[in-house]
Amino acid sequence: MPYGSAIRPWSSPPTQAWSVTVVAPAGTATGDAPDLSAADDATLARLAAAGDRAAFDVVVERHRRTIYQVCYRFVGYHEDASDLAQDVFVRAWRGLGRFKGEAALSTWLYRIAVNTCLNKVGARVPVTEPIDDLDRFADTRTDAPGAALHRRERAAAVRRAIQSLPRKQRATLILRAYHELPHQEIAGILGSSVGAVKANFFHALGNLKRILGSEP
Amino acid sequence: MTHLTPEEFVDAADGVLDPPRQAHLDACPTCRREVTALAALLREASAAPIPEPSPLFWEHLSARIRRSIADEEVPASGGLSWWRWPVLVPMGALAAALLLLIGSLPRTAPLPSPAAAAAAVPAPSLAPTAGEAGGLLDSAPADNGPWEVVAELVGTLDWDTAGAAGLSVLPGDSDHAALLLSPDEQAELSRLLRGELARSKS
Repeated sequence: MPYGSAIRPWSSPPTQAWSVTVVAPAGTATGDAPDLSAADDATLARLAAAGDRAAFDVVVERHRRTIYQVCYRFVGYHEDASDLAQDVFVRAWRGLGRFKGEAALSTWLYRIAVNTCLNKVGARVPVTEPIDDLDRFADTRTDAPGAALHRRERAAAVRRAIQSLPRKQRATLILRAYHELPHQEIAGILGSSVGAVKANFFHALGNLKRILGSEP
Repeated sequence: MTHLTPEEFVDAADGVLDPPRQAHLDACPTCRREVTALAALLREASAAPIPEPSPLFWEHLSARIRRSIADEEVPASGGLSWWRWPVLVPMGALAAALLLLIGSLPRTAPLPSPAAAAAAVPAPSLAPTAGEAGGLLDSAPADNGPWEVVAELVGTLDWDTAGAAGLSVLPGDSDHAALLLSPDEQAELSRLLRGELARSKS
């Protein structure tokens, strides 16, 4: 059975995200330019590696949300996450000549993102999120005030706890719990074995439990 | 039977535990408690959302990335296909080592006349210097057979590849390669190059 079709008893319904369609203003069409938005990732990567910046634009557009989210889970702060996401794509552009196409482009981008985050935030003390940031985005229309506040505080505590995990445990938990990548793919991204990924995941959860249990 | 290992706990939380171990889990309240706690923690962690940026943020991020790479060179550096590098880089490095070695040897024999070189086969793609090498190698006596592999290696390199591999060829280097090494030295270098070529192609 493919992993993606396995039932994950722990998974929760996806949270609602913004959905915006950007429509180009009239008169901005590029004439005979090929429609890259329908191209698959492998084609885009090949074109971008040959210097096609428009193809790379599509790669960025397609993967920017995922990469930003990985970065945010690592650092817990919007400005840092957006800087890291930018860095990831710049590194990807520079490395396209070495992209062998053996793994999916998304896997390759995950690998760059994780390495970038691990290198830049490894020794940093987890930030405390400003409560305004959370209030700004939370949908509280159906909540009792007390329940909504408790849920936001708990979510912030979980994010802080994740940011204080050892680096590989943090990467494993983020990729598994929030991006639902198979253990095999995570192993490829982190350069470790599937067994090590599962063990890291287990210990990450154990540490998470311990940290959350010690929160006031 | 022993309790579940960390890996098996993860498999159990994912619902993909092997049947024999699932039988243990069904019968073991300790392991069941652990899996239940693990699944609950995962549910809670997974449900912790991150703030969604403004809708305008995404285009802003794309624009920042576009500006960042605007001054960057084309990533493929010279338009080489990625799949050629695993073969060409070691070949280029070997050819560079060969030419440097030969270039460092003292000249003990006269070079052929310019007329003889001019009558040789047209130059391969490396560079004018390598063209001379190709001509000399092609016109070498039959007992220089081992050098065919050198000619093959040098002849398949284009200038961009050679430059990227660190090749620095001086006029006369390839002449030395063809003329100054002893047959035993030629045979040994040829053997090394063939071995490397076979290894890089495998």
